[in-house]
Amino acid sequence: MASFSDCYGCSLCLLSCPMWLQRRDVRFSPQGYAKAMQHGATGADMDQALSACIQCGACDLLCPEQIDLSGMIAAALQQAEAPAAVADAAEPDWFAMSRTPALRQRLRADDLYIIDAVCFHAGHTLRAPHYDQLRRQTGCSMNLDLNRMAVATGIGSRAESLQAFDVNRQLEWLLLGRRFQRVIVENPADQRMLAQMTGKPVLSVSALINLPESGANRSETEHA
Amino acid sequence: MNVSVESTLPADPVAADALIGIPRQQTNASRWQGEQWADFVQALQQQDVEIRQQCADTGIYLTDAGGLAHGMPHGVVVAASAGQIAALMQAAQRFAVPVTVRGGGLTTEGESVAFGGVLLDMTGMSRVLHVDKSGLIVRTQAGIFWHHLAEVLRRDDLDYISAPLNLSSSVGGTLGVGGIDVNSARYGCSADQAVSLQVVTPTGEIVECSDRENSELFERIILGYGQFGIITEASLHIRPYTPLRMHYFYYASLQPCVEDLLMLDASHACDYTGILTMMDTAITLLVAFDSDQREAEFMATVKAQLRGYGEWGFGLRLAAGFIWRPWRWREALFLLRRKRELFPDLQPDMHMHDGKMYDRTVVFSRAVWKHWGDRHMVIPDLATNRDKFVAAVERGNAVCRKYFPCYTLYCVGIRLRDEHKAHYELSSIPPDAEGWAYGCEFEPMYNGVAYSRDYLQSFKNEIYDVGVELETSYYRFGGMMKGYIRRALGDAVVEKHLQLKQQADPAMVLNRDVIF
Repeated sequence: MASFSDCYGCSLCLLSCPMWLQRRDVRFSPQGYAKAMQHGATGADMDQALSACIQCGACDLLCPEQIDLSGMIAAALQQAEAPAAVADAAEPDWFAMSRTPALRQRLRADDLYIIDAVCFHAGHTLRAPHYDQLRRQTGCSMNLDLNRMAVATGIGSRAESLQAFDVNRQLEWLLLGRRFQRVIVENPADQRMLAQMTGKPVLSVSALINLPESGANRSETEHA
Repeated sequence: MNVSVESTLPADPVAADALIGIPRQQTNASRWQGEQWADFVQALQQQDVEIRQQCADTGIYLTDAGGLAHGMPHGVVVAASAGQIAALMQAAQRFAVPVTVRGGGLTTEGESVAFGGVLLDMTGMSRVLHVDKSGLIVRTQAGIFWHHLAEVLRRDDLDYISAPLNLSSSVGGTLGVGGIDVNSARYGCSADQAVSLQVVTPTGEIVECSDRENSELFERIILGYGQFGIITEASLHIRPYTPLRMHYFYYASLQPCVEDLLMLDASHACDYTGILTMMDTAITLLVAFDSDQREAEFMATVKAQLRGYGEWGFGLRLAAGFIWRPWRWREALFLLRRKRELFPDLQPDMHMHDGKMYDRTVVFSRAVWKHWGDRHMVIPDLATNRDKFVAAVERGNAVCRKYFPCYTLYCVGIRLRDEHKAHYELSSIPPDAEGWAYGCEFEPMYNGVAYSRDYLQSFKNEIYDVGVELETSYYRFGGMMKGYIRRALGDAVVEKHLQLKQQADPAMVLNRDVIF
């Protein structure tokens, strides 16, 4: 497995990095961490930059050198004893939910379906084709960028601990220019913020699946 | 002792005198020694300009995509505003501190590497400012990567017109050197898409320029290798987004393929054209269209004139050629492996729908970094007029064969704009080119072999020597190699621009080792 010393600065990891997109400062990127470590920086030296990482995992997939960037960041965080973006406990299997026939039937072409980025990137090989098919079959739009990485959300419940990361700005970026009538979220963590920002109905996947048949197409705002 | 001057490769290709006609020391910049650095830093700090001097901060910028030149800046400034950059340049003039500007860092001869002084990281200014959807013009900060520009434009079903097939190159850097795409034969280079620019001059004035306003500065900035100012904002032509339908035609030798490329461009029958090869054995002509109508017209009127084969026909022909030549089976195995690895990445499921490719630049850019990128992105180019292009490709190919068992050629045409002739003066566009210029990049594939810096440098120099002998231009998307600049452009052009540079940049501090 390649390590941080193999980073030669191609910048591809920046392209889908939520932290870099907010800061536009290479120190706040996997490349910035790797390059700093190549020059002797320790986790403690980078604690501010490290704590801005939401560990969505997109960088692992984009790195042409296949460096374990998530592992590198986790190790540096441990070294720095910096607050990390720890996943919410006992997250349900959203991917399994996304495969249910009920979801396929109830998703509409004017829905914005928000994939949970961490799960998506962690199982990208298997999951990317599934979501691509789901998008084509239902006509809904998804929170995918041009690299077909998921624009990360699912961090609302951790927003207060992630002081170095602006969740509002992240959601603004996700929503920029997208046209939809309803939002379906896998991870309900940002449900309330999305409802406030969009003024549109925001349903969790589980709620959509469990809606009674007659209510599946009803406009209904649901807050977390 | 007799020394042969006819030989193109000296007995020792890594010796100090290996670069024919070019003293070795001219290819790398000397390090600035830090005179008045402390006063300079103090002056900047008084104006609230942050300058980072820790090793971990400056080390991020140690090298560029070429990976052959290494240098550490004394300090790094991350661009935040035109005003901040103006303050930086005023202080740099006052204390004679060199400023090296960097966007994506995709230069190949160290042009974005600071050999001391300040490294100005333009990616700090990388936001889209305004999209004029009806006028089809975008105003953006110049440090933006083309990828992010595309990302924002796509939310409104819009797209840039042409950009390098490398998404981590920046808009500002590209406008300074040209930028070629597979649609450049139709639309011109990326720099031709610029409508107007906000520029910070070497002496720290903030100036708006275009063909109508401060037009002389505009001429110097576009394709000016960063010598006459720092582009902080750019207005660019854009267009509605369309996916494309790609066709591939395969050739067994270079000449017919290059000739067909020239014919296609002259016919205006295609929206995208280019050549991508696996050595000179499997040569692919890429042809693509923005609309079904254009594709249908091409199929009805032009396709029959092409001499290339389809995939199966070419595969059978290639197999028949290899089967009686066991000494070439290793090459055949490489081609098979390459095809197996590369082709799926050129048509990834996530970017294909109904036979159309979505986000071609993402597809190509990722393939470039995965299959060609490495610690050393060595891509010497030759640029010629139409008449010299076949010879340039064939001679450059012979150099590749000499140095590397595996390599790729990438060829595209560049439509020239008569009204932009002044822009092209200091650039890689050959002055004798009319209508189109043609570029060929020669890209070694390392396959895990570690080549020395000097070996790679010798390869590049031998490609440039072909350019000298053909009396044409040679360039890279990163700029012009300093040691060759007078031979490529001639003393008159260089002296003219040197004089302009001295007027614009009295202390000669901005990107000082790139050209002059």
